[in-house]
Amino acid sequence: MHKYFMFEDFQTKVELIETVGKFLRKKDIVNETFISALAEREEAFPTGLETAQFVENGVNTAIPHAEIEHCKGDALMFVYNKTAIPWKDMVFKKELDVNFFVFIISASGGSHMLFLPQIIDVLKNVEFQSKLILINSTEELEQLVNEKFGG
Amino acid sequence: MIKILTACGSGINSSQEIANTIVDELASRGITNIEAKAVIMTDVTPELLSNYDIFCPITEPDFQFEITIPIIVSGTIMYKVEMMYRDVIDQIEELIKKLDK
Repeated sequence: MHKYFMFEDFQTKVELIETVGKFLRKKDIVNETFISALAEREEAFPTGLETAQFVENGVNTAIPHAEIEHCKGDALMFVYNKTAIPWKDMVFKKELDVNFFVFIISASGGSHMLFLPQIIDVLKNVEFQSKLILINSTEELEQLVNEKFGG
Repeated sequence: MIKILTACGSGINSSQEIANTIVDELASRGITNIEAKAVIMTDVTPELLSNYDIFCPITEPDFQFEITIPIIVSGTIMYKVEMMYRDVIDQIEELIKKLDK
């Protein structure tokens, strides 16, 4: 599965979603409907996870995704944003401050069902989160993610 | 047989994760007469719900119709930390005892 990485300092949710969406469009792995579909889906069914609770000084995570018809292939895109972005929690819909994003791109549906438990497991890992908050470049993010998720 | 319906937003099958965990956790408590089906939230209708005993959505649903079966919000299962979702399984177990099927 393709993995993409981005270390950034977006100030808003819109800026983040649009930039990531355009990046994925350039990779030709999502359709032109992807950005609006993802934003709409996020509004109706938010994807924030309160992963900061697992580690002292940890970060919260979101796993944004769109329906399979908006995707052309299977990939994961990891984004670490220096500024925490307000993002709603998927269970209680309360506002979280989120720094880490795992965009799930799936044209087939099935593969991510297998991957989701792994994402959650890694996010509960103290060592992973401790290193994550020290990330300072896309290369460092890629190295850390590949270390924990497999290269 | 107790029939449980789980539901989430579409995309990554969170509802299947929830359904699997509920079945496994209830089995570990000796409750095995469970049938759990996972659907996406937009597919849930009053007709569909009428075929089930308990509804376990990932989050509080925002339906334009009344939910007439017991509902237990089960999204904490997504964290895969037993301590965080024990209360959800306790509530389901309690309901099953009341249903006496």
